[in-house]
Amino acid sequence: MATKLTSKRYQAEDYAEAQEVFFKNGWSDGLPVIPPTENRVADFLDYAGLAPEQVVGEVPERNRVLTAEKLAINAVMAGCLPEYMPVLVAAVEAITDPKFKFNHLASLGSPWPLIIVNGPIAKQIELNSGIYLFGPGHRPNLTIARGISLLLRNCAEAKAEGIQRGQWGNTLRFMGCVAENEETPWTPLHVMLGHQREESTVTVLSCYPGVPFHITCWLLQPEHMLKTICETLPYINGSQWNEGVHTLFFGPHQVEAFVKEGWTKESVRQYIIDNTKSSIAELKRRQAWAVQSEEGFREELLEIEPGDEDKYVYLFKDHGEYNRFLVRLTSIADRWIHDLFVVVGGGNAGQRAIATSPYGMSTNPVIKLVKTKQ
Amino acid sequence: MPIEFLDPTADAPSGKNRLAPRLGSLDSKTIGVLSNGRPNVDFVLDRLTAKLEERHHVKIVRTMKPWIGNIAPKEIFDQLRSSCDAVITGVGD
Repeated sequence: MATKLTSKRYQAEDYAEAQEVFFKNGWSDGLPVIPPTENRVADFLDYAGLAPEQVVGEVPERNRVLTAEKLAINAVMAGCLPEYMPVLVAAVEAITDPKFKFNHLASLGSPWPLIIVNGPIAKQIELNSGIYLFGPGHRPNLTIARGISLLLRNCAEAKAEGIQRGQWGNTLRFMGCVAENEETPWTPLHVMLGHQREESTVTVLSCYPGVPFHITCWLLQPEHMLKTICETLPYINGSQWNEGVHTLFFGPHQVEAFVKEGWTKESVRQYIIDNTKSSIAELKRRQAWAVQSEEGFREELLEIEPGDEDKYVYLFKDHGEYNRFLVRLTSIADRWIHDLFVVVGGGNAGQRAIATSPYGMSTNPVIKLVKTKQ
Repeated sequence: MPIEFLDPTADAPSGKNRLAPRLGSLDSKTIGVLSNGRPNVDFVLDRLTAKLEERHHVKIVRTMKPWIGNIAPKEIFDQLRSSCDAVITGVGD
């Protein structure tokens, strides 16, 4: 395929000097990059069957268009292989889908998308779903996450020098691409979200920093694990009562323990949705219960009153009369989505489940099909 | 060995965004204010709008984004565009 690339060209004497060009111009995320030569970039576009000028995503609020050429350039820089391109394209389509509400990525809370890959593509590109899942060691996991991060940095102002006001930053920009382990009897995430098992998909959902958040379950017993999770999940984001779509990851050995007692992924999910709650007294102890201003910010934290220990709020359900102490009133009508995604992954030994904290009010998860050569 | 490589950045297309014509004066104009809803933003905007009213006898149209993390909805932009001569907005905390 003849591929005409229109990006400006730069020259350097050698590889080392090329690195300095990237660092000096602010095009790097702090690590060295693979210089995106014309041949390398063309390989990516040829593999995916995409014309360089093809629009992969648009960010109208930043007046930006993300082309296949720019995605390929940043993917090369990240260290991706051409065969990752279909996953990269699906991730960009998801992140620029209006339902994801791209602009929230600028927020003070440093949200960033977790990218979950399902279906046959994961094994084809050797995307890790197992041990050390959220750590370094697997090329596709890190370079896909990094490729998306570099693209948004260089083409959509997602950087501190641009339109990114995150207080602490988010390591998902390096580690935030994982595959689900689909070898257990549990229903894969994409099937639960309405797709066929044999389809490959990318699901993105915005998370607060701190991923992965450990929930230690000392006993490999379903009842113990479920009770621990239901007690812990409301508080993984400090005094902020989380609204939105949480994820929970279980290891395959934990899934096996559930399956032995007849628990499916669907029944585990439903149990957690039905039973994750907090007393008002505990919310007050954790500084999460307050009178709110018109803008929805906490003006006055409230003291525990008699009876508060026996009144409850459920994390995954409408809070009814208690809304006004927990959530921003003007936002309710338009973004009341509570859900729980359960995913299988990680090592097959260990006592921890993993949770992510949703950037709830400002965004929605999006799932897209991975398309092979177009 | 010399290397040639491609620019990874993309700018906004030029020419699409232009500055609106400037008002010659603020006197007696209708000024829209779009609050981003952060804590204490009213502290700043109350004082700013009071000064404008005092000095230029403006009419103020006050609006606020429903949620801090997202762009204001089209209805708010339409309201500001159709009813105001100029708009003040900003980012802050």
